[in-house]
Amino acid sequence: MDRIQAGNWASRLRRFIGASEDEHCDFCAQAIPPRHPHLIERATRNFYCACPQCALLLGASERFAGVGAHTQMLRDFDLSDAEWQGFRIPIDLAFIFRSTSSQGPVAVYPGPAGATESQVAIDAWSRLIAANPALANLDPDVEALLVNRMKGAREYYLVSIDRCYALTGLIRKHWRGLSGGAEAWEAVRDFFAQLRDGAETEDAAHG
Amino acid sequence: MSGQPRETESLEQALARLEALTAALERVADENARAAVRELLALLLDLHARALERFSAIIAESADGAALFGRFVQDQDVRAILLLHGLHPQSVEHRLREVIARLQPQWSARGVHVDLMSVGETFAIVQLQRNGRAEPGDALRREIENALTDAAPDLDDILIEMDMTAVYAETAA
Repeated sequence: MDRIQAGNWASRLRRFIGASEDEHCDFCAQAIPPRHPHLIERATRNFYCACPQCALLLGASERFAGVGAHTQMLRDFDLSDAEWQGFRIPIDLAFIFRSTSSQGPVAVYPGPAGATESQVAIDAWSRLIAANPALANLDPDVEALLVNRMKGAREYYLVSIDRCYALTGLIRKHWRGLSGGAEAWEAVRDFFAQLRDGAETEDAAHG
Repeated sequence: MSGQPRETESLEQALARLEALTAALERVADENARAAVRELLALLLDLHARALERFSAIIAESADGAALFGRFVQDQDVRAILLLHGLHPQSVEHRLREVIARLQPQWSARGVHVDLMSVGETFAIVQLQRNGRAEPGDALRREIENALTDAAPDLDDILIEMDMTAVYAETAA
């Protein structure tokens, strides 16, 4: 049977009609420019667009945290293959962060539906911090350790959480078939290439 | 772009065209034109929605209202309009469960078990589990996606989650 591509026609038309031309602050509804601050709600991990005033006001509250785009490559990172196995993450690509809502370290790794989550054993995480002091000051909910050990790579980054969700979103978009397909993993490779460039630029800017 | 006469265009073709035209409108560069089209469409839909809501209320009040609604949703043309206006009497979850229950036997025979994990306002998550006889490639996954999307075109997206353990093991091997 030939399929005619009628997909999410109903939601698409309704969205077109309902869409407003400008972006608005999710808190005070005032119009905001395309580049604007984002807040993450700690309990739900939902992202919100904010105007500068609301970002400042709510960004350090108990409920919300401000997400500042940030990438730092961690050189000389200390994590043996055996230690990595101890994290029991089924893929060589994951991000780990301290979650307020889960009251401990959480690992998130990408799959076709977006992010899949698992708890990280406290002792494995403590050993990792002891070996890598750069992780000691990880800002809960908004900063993450991004691990890329795909195809022999051993790359580690300290990144803002939005970069991590961007990666899982990217993978979901490109995922094909049952195992991802070449396109998804090419997208991942490009993402890390850009991340490395960005990290180097930031390094240079910070002197 | 010229309209096709109704006699030669199927409902599916019409809906596909509706979606393509919406996509074209999203890309119109002229902001004023886009706003005018948006307003016109909103007004037209609103007028229809008002009438349809009255229809629905009058039918619901009648003795065999439920039975009549049952016949409406069997009719593809009526069903499409009820979906567009958010007046479909069955919830998204109900519709998704129904299509999964109906097609599960044939999907299972081809190697994939389908579970509805969650249904939200704008998207649903569905988990696929391979049972060892899975067909390779994209065809089956697309078929499943299409069947689910047809049942719930009022969702933004239906996310397909795989039981990843086996898949990652293969990727690593």
